[in-house]
Amino acid sequence: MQPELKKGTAEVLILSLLENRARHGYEIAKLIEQRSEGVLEFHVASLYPMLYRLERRGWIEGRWLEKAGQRRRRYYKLTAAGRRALPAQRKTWREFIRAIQRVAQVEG
Amino acid sequence: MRDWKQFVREHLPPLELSGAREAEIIEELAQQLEQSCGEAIARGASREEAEARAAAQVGDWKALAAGIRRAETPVMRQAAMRAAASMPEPWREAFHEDEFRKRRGGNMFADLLQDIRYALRMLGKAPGFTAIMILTLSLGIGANSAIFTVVNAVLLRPLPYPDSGSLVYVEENNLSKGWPHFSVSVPDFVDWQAQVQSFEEIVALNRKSFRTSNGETAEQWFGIKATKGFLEMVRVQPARGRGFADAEFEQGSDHVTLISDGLWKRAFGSDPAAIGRRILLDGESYEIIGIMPPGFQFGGTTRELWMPLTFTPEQMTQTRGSHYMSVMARLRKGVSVEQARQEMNGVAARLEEQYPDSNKGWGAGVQGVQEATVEDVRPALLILLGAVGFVLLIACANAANMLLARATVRRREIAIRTALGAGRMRLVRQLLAESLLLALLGGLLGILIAFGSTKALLSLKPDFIPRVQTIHLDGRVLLFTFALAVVTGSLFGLTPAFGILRESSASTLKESGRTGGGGRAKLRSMFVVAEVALAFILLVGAGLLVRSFGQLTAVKPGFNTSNGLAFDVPLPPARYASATQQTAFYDQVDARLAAIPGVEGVALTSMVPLGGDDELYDVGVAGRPEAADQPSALYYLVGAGYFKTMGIPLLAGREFTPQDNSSGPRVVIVNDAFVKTLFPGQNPIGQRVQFGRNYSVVREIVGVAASVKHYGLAEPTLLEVYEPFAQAPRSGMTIVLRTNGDPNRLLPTARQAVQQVDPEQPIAYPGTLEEYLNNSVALPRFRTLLLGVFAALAVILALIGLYGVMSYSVTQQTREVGIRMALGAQNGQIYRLFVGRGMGLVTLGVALGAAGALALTKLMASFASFLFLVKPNDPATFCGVTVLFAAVAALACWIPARRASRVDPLVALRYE
Repeated sequence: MQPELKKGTAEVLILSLLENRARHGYEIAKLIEQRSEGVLEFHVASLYPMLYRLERRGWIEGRWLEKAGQRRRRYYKLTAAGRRALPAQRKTWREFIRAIQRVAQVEG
Repeated sequence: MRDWKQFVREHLPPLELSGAREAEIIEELAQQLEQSCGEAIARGASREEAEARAAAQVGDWKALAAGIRRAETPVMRQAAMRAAASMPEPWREAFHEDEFRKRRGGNMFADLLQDIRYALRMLGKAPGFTAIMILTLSLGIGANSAIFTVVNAVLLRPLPYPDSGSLVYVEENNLSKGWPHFSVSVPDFVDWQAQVQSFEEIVALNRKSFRTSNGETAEQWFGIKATKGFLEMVRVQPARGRGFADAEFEQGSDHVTLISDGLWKRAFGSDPAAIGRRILLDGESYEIIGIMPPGFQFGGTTRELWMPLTFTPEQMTQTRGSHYMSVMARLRKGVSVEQARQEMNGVAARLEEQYPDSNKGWGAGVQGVQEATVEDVRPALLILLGAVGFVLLIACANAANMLLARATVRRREIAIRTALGAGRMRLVRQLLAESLLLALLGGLLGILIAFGSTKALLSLKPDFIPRVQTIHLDGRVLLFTFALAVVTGSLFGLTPAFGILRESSASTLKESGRTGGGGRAKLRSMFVVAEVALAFILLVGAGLLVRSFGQLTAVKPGFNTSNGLAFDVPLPPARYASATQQTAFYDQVDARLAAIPGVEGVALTSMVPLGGDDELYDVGVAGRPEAADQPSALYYLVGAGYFKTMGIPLLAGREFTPQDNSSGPRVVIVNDAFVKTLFPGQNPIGQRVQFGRNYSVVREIVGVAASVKHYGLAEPTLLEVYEPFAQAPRSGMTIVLRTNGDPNRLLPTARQAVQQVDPEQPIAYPGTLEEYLNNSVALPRFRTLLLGVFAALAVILALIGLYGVMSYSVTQQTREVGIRMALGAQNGQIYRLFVGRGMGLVTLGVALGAAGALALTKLMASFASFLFLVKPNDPATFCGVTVLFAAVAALACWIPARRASRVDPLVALRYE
């Protein structure tokens, strides 16, 4: 995929994955790859900067959690602001995808 | 098992973040690698294979570090890094931007080009917007560049002599008589020269004009006579020939001269053999010893001869009370003006003690030459610079406002680009590129405006500006304009750019521009308030100057300025040495001039009121003991019929007649102020007074004349005393003609009449009395006109801003207006809604402006002579300006409101 397009979509993907539960970075990358059936693939080099960016913006929040017998891991969860932003992001993308469909006559 | 933390630490370039944060990130990345490695092993890969695969996951470590750094760094620091990108290579190394460059597939330069191309395309799509923006900015920038051109030439550029900063004027002063700057007498100068240590060189200067003739036409050349050390003081040597020899500063061997390059070209055809040639000046022979370098000036552009100034022994000792020379000096290295001033004070005090008769009350002053040269115009120029600064601020606020309005329109475009992954910095840079491009185009047009308006300014012939001939656009002005454009562009471009970024990109994609951000509307209103306030301050300032100028020009000069012509007829003393010769010449000229048809009166005078010359003497009443503060009076030497010709009313007694000559009794005419001071409540006619060089001679008052304004219309009336020419003849007189039509028409005939008497006699400085009057108010007129123009410009720009905001808010609220109208609102209510809202902004702006104006006009009034008979808080001006402003502002609100009132409710409700 085009890097620009991918970067644009990353935000909505990450927010969606964190909507219902907190996850750590590796999990997020894996889920994106699995759920898109391999079409979308985020390398470390683009995933982590994106996480930090969203954290800076106040949409997600990372926290170190320790589970018995494991090393501590950094889990990310949606903040209130992120939760508010998600519907708008989704709406934007819905609009955008429909627009592309209409214009480019891509099958939905 | 590999230590992944160590691995990450080894591979990841430094993040330049806080240590704790960096450690955290390393830990998180290490876990990512560790986990993916672990999973690969679980799926059956060999340990080596799994480790290699995990290690390869990152791919580009540099890109990762850059990405993290960008994500973690606040926006302003990123801007600084962008700026660093345009810096020299070694600096840039410090800010790794590899990832950025790679992603674009180009370098910073290519990005810049892309930004500019995009900006040009966007601006081209909105030609109306672009044109108004560029025009607004160019007016602001152009006005600044024009005034800076003048300030640069007059205040900033050093005088054209090496180390001109250490050149000073040394003057005498008599503060008890109210003379802060006064010429120097020869004996005082000689004593200074002998006693003062602060100066490397101290040189007395005397202006002199010479009559010269090549046998056909008579010409007048102007020169400066200077004492020993002149060339060393200015530190300029002749380009050809030699400087003065010491022996040439002795009386008798002082007939040598240096000439200007211009005179050498003009009169000698650049002939090298001109050096050594002798020329006749005022009938005396001078040897040309050298030619000064091209461009050398001293004493003004018209001065083209420089020669030794020498004194007779009695001049050096006897004439301590006769002040007529200027003195200039070069400070010794390490000596400050203040130190020199202190030393001069001491010397002057000693002389005062030593020669109480002549030096009582006389002190000495030292002032930097550059400072003294610009003393009169500096306040005016600084105020004008401040005024154009205001104009530029208003232009900036306008530009920012237009960008904000446009940003609303462009929200969708920007939202889509953000959604597609355009970085914030990329967008900010894009928007900045647009505003900088606008500002630079505005600057370019501004240069043209500055060029044109500087020309227009100089066509007003502001001769009162020192070094006016050196005013031109130079590299410094261009640089100033460029810097101004860049600063302007960033100033008005940044606000809207960051405004856009603050908004959530996603939320705007769907919306139409109709409901634009409330914060932004507030910002735009604030800009308008600021514009109104600034424009109001300027308008008040201009209003005060206009009122003051009106008061000034309402002052009567005390003589009739219409249809009067004056010119100098300076007789060379060599050929007209005796009093008889001088009187005979002027008598003949007088008769010939009077015979010219159209001439209604002719009179001789030693000086013309408002002409800039002066001659002052202590005056006393015969028989009365000398008072401690003997009053001084302006001394006019005038011919018969002077008062009738000048149109100065006689209040008592009689006018001078041809019978008031050397064989008649010595008589004088004085003015009413003279009578009031010396003969209060008495009949002055027949009283006897003493003054001047022949103080012992007693003269009888035969007439009292009304006062004239001598130094300027705003100046107080002085004591005046008039003596008949035939009783104290001299060689350098001015002739005044009263004509019955345009006086300039008679100038050639008048010249002929003079040369019929003496074909080698030139006339100098011809000018109408009207011109004398106009020149005396040239500086106030100049600053009033300019401040008026700038205030008008400011008001127009502020009104454009107000109109823009109002008309935008009407557009935004079309639907609301439609609903109100559908619910039965009347046109009047709609008007009230919008005009009321706009006038609310205006009221706030005017209130702020009035407060600012009160402070700033007080500053303006603190400059002497700025306000004449007008108080800085003049209520009439403040009220007038407020009413004027309110009226035009109401118009600017009314036009958009009218559009709103014509909204068709049906259309408006469907309006999207």
